[in-house]
Amino acid sequence: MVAGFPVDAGDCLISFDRLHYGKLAAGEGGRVPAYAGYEVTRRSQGIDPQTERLLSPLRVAGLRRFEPDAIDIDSRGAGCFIARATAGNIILMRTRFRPEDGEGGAGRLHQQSAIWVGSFESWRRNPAACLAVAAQELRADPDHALERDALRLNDAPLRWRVAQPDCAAVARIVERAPWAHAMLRLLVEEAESGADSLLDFGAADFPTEREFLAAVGFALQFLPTAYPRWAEISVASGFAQSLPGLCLRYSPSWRQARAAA
Amino acid sequence: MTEKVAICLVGPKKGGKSSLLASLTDCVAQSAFGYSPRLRPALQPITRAEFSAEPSEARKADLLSIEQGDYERMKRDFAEGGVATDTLDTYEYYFRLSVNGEAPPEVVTRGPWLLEVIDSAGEIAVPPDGAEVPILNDVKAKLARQMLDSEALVLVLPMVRLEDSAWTGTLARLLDRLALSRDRKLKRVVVAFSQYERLFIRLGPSAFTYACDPAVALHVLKKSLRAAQWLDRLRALEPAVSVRFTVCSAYGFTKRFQNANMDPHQPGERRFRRASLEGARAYSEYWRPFLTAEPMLYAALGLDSAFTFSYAQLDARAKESAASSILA
Repeated sequence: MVAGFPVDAGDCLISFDRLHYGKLAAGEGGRVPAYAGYEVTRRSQGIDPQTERLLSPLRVAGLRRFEPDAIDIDSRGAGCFIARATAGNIILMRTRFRPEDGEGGAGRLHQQSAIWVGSFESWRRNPAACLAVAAQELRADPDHALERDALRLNDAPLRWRVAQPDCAAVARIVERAPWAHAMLRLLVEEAESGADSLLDFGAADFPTEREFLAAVGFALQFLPTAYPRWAEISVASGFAQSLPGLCLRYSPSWRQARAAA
Repeated sequence: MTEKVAICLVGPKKGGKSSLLASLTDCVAQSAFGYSPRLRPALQPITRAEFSAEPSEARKADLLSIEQGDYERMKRDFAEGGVATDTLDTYEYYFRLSVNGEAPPEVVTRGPWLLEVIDSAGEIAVPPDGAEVPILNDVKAKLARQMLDSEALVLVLPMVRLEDSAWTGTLARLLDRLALSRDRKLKRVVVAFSQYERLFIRLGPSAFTYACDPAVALHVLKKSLRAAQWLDRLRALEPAVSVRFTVCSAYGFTKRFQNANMDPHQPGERRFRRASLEGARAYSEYWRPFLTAEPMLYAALGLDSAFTFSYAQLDARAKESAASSILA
């Protein structure tokens, strides 16, 4: 499942409940029908009301209002990605703004968010697998209006069987990778500080988001589970705002910014 | 003396609430309203901190600074085609309103006014009839509280989709509950029929001339109210609450050419624009919103314009028409 990932003996299961917030779409290009408004368009049956309160895109992003300019200009097609822990959960979210008259349209935009929630323990033990799965599968695409409500709103959780990474191989990769030094330095230096800290990467560091998330996955996999600020680590990609705690962020448009500097 | 006024914008989705708000300051700046030009109102977006500050603490406005606040972002989104307001929260915008010209003394002495305008997605207050729309968080409770705490309610209804029955039942029930509520602070309700320019699309360069005639607006309102009998529920609010009806258009009519500002050559619903420019500048050359200041100015000041009509005015005309129809 995780291409090129060093595999140890044994598998484990990672599981996420999901919630989609946005509008239903229909037809070619995913045009929003006139009757469709904002709503929860998909929900796993296992999400309890207490957890659901945490899944507002505003709360996950720490914003008062989610606007298109909260998303890096080079990430507006696929949307921004956020992974952060909260209240014993790991929440992974992708949000974008898409035209109501369908992909490639020119009309009014609407927000479309896909949110996964899983156990924090699963994230702490398998960060690389969680990020790899999210990089590949987490898409902010609207649900189809023709799918029955009863199915969409009582969805089964998402499950993947993932290989346990080989710790020695992860260590070897991290020791050689040019990006690892900066990530691990931030995590080590801020381990006891309690302060917020942000480390930015751009297109000069990683050509794509997927490579960035794979790199962060390796760096976090290298981190001991006893690391004191595990719950404060957040990962963001294409998100123009910073997140509280220890934030590793990828901003593709930084390529231009660095070139200009 | 400074008076604070909370105004709640309510209406079905895609009705034009956010567009009305986004075009508000430009409408006032361009005097594109039905008030006397001698009223000389000025409307300036301010921050929440400025709204909340005591008058003595209020800092002097920096004349040259450009506020990159929520309202500026809303205006930019509007220029770029608009963003549907989400249901995750209600959104407050703040303005300072002053009247610098001639106005009745009882109005002038109350000013300037600090306005809090509450915008929200149509799905929250006016969802489609019978639909149980799953919405995150308790934003409904927040909006209900804000409606009860507001001094004015601006009901924005899309004129050309008025007979759309998807939300009329919900809106009628909302008005009933509002009329029965004892906790409300409501003093004024303005029903603004939006997208007025669409009625004049085929009139070409004569569109603006006809739209500018209050008698035309009155006729249109009478006809619209006949199609929306459920709006009669608002009579239950009177006389404690002043109810007014008006028309407005965020896209408005083009400057110089006077036609409805809806470019048929662009995909979607877009205003006319200069092709060589981007963003708000591309539209500003032709854009003149129409009467989008009316609902807010009446909500704040309680002052009628040539385009705000009471039930008494609408009923009087209706009686005249009924009488004349016998002779026709």
